[in-house]
Amino acid sequence: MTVHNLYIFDRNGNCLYYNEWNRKKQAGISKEEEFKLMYGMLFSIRSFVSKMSPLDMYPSHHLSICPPDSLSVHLSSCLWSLSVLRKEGFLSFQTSKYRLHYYETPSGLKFVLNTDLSVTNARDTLQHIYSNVRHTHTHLPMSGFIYRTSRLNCSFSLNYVTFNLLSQRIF
Amino acid sequence: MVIYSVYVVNKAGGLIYQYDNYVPRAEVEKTFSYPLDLVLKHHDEKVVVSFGQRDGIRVGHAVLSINGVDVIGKNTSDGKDILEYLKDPSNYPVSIRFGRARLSSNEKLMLASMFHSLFAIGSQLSPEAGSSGIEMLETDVFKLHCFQTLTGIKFIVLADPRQSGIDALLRKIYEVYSDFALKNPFYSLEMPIRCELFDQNLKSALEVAEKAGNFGAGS
Repeated sequence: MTVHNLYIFDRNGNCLYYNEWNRKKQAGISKEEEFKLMYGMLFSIRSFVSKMSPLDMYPSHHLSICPPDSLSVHLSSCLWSLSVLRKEGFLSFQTSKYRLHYYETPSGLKFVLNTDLSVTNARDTLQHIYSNVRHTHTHLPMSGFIYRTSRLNCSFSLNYVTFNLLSQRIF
Repeated sequence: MVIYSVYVVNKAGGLIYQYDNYVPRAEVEKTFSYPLDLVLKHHDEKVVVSFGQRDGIRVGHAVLSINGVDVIGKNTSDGKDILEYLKDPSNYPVSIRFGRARLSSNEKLMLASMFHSLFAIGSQLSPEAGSSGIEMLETDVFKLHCFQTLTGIKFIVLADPRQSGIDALLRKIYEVYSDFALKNPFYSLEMPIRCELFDQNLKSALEVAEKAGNFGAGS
């Protein structure tokens, strides 16, 4: 069970974070170009998948409008329906040697993890990384001065968090 | 437990064969009165819903027919522009059928070439040496399987995510290709495949795979 590398992109395509643990082959181009190529590939795959998909990405909506007898019941059913209706789209792809896992947040943040073939589903790992990074990032005393799309400067905490998570869940 | 379609791509990235085995068409037909509460717009030679999703009619669905008569691109069958037709209150009440737009053959060509490039980039960005291109691409709605032969031909199958036995199916399609397309004296390499026996045998191979896949998943 190995994890090769992790990329985090923002919604504009800038690479906010990259780390590698066990990469045996470099891409043969500079890191900048590699990030652009990776982002471009993911963007194309997403557009390819939405056109090629034989069914709509949204599940069919069976919920009827319920009368608001209680505001909290109505609100919670709305929130549940929002989570059910959120499409996932492209999840992962595999080649003969590695598997790329993809997770996109509603805010457009993209998490890309390359692992070997024995890891079938890293989606919850990526979701945990997202929630933990968001938590540590927004709670750091300096974070108020960092714009959301700048490179994640708290790299020490990010390394610590991701390493811990990955070692617990994958190794 | 379904196989949706099969694509065969040559080594230059051009689509040489395409077969849709099962095309689920979620279509909704409704009668509307003036004014239309959906916002429609032109997109790629079709009229699609851009806002106002309701009752099974989703954003991105295209207008398929008006009053039971299929539309042709942006115009009705009489040649009138659809948006102009729907702005006129005297044409109401009107019954419009919406649904997921079918892929035109041009779009299929473009998608096949797009996948050909993505396949190559998947191999280039590999963190491990000696990787092939994308062999399986998974989404929540379908799984795309690709088998590239030593001569560069790619056989692509789109199936349900739970369908099993697709690897065997891809090898079988390769066998059918070499038996009924390559051995056909009138077939030229890398050209679109127009061989009846290839079509027939491909269909039966798909039927066998779907039935075998059902057994595999049930046990």
